[in-house]
Amino acid sequence: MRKAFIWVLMIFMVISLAACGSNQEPAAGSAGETGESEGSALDGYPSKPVEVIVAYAAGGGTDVGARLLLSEAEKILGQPMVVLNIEGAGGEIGFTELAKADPDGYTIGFINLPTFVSLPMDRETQYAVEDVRPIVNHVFDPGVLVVRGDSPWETFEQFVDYVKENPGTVAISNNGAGASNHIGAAHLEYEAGIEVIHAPFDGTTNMLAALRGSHVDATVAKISEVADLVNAGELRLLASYTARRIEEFPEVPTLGEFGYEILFGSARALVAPAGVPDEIIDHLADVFHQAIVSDEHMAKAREANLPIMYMGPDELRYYMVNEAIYLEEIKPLIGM
Amino acid sequence: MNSDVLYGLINAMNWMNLLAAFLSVSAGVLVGALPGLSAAMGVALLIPVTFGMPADTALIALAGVYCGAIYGGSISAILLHTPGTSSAAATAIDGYQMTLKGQAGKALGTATIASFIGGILSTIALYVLSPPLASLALRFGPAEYFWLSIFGLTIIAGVSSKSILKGLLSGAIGLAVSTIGMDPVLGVPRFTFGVRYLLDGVPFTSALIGLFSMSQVLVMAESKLKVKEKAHEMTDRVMLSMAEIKRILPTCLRSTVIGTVTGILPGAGGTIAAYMGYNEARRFSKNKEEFGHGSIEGIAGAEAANNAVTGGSLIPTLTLGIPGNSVTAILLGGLIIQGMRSGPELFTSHARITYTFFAGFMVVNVFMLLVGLFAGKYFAKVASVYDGILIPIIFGLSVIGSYSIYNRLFDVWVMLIFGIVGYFIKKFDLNAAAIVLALILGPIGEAGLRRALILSRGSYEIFFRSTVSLVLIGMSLLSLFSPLLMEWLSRSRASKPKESS
Repeated sequence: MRKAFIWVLMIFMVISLAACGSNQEPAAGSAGETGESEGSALDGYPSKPVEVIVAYAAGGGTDVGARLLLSEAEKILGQPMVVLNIEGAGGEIGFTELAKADPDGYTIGFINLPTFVSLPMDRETQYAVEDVRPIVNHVFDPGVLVVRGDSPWETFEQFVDYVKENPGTVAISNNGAGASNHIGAAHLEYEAGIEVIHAPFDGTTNMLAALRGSHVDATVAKISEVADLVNAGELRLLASYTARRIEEFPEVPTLGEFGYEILFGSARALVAPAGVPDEIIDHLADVFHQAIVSDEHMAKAREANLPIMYMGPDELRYYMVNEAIYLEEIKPLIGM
Repeated sequence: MNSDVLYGLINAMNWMNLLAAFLSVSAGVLVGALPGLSAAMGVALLIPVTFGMPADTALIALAGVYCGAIYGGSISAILLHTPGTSSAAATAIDGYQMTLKGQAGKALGTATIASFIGGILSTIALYVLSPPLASLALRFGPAEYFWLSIFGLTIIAGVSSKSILKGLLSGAIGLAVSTIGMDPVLGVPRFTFGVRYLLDGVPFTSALIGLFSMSQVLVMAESKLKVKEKAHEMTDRVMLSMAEIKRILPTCLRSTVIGTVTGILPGAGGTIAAYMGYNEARRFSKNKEEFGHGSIEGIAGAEAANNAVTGGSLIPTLTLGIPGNSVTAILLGGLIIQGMRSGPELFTSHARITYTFFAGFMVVNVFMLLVGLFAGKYFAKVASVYDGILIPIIFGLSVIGSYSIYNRLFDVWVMLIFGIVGYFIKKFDLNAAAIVLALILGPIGEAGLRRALILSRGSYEIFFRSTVSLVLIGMSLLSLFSPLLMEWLSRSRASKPKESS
């Protein structure tokens, strides 16, 4: 008797949901492309605001970039996107919340690469890389080697020569033991056959403060973190970890030009819990694609020194797998 | 730079900031006037409320509660002979005597005007001293931060005037708790027992809400609910004559200097400054015999000093990230939540917010003067409110406050546990401020020590290399032996008159 009642209720609910879905105007131009059909997981999605987990503090680099993209994307999605800052433990707390969230498409989140992939290699984390599925990549912030503006090293060659002659005396600050910049610095150390001191600080602000206050000699950072200080003349770029020279700093050589083939940078991507149905992923990927390529978004990103690099779901998955392979290979070599 | 100062002045006058200043000062005065509720507790409870606000408004609101509560303590000190906050203890000496003489209004007026002068003048110190100190912050490397934390920890011995042993024990408890969380150099979890919320250490703000608010609920609930002593009726106006203002002015200025300097030094807070201000006022006064029997100079000496501490204590908090007392420790938490870090960035990329905050600090003091002069006596009525009403309100606010920081039930448990810890701290007469200080300084010191040794490849010479380090070592030694020094000084001073007579 009771079971029958529940069945009746469920049928009513399905019918009313379907009715809602057909009443709703599909978001401009998205319905046709994503192949929406009656009774699919997309029916009525999104009917309420979507929560977006940012695993870092409000006002930080990741948070600013996230809010910038979401303000454009929610216009296209037709529902608000609410940022939840769940910070802590280098991102692990937020990543875990994201991985364990209900896979209904109403909780998605930002991850940072390689951090998201490298954390589970370094310690026992409560999420696994397979717990999420990729949506799109938003930002790619290339790594750079930077020294003070008044430093005696004008070029990368001078720096390497000095370190070769004085092994174990030059200190490079990074944003935490095992964090992305540490890997970047250690990889250069390995490839160039030099020996430096790695000084771990908590976060990028303190890592840069140590360089600016002459407590260390160099830093491996991301270009967006140091662009303003470089333009103000306080810091000097020696080389970039990119395949081609960085557009805004064409005078700065890549490490490849010196024979060190190291590509390194930090990507910020949107992912969803693993169980979210394909239709919703496709829809979100489409929404974010439109938002990323929009003129408003690109203009705001330029203003905020945010290097944009769009990748679709498949491309992003490929990138994440490659990052994992790279880290697996490089970590034993650089003694981590 | 100057345009940022000007921008701050104008922006602080924006209606939202004015409203925040007014409401927070009123709330602060209320918290301060209620015996048992401290400034630290008021600020801790407000932090979750400020999440949704813009950074400048949020900081102004926090400062409003801070200043309001320090001032509010004087109201119950004068009318009930029960200092609302510990820093108003010195005010009670002469304030209550005046109340008994039927001069409660004059006493309250003195406290209000002196608090205003102390507060507003300490803001000038904030404007003038913060930027140079902030640019000095870059000269603080790992070794210097290590010594800074050592200096802060030595103050614990001086703060705990009752029993140095208990003060040190409190400091040790704080240091032990501060080791929970991620290892700062190796990135390995310590003492987290697999709880991921502990990876970043014990949630700080929740712990403080527990230590300062929840513990008070337990203490109040334990003592029998009794109707408090009624506040004395006020017969005269809350005002001073021009001549009286002129009389207390030198005292106010002296106490402002004492308070600002005391505020800048980590560890020493409003209570010490107030007693120092009071003693100096007596030493310089022409009417020494009035002291202890209702002297307006005595009230002014104490109140100008403890309110000058507010501005002074913000200087090291904003520039070096080293809070001088438990209130600014909580304020520092609010700063970080707003995405701001202490240091030179506050005066470059965040300059507009910072200078709006400074200007807001002045506005807060003006509102404090107005609220005190026109509504002081109404707050006195609230001070004798029944505990049975107060307890559930504070309890509710503590639970909501700790939950809403990260929307996690875990933080509520942390708050409750620290509430129980705080209760026993009060029972055993330990020092909660020392625990908080150690909780903040422990990680700074540890990370500084280990980073410095990494940079120097294990050589201890790095700790004595820079001038800043040497100055900090000197200050640490001075503060370590200051209790002995003080005792020796007061003994020699006491013996001198005998010799001459």
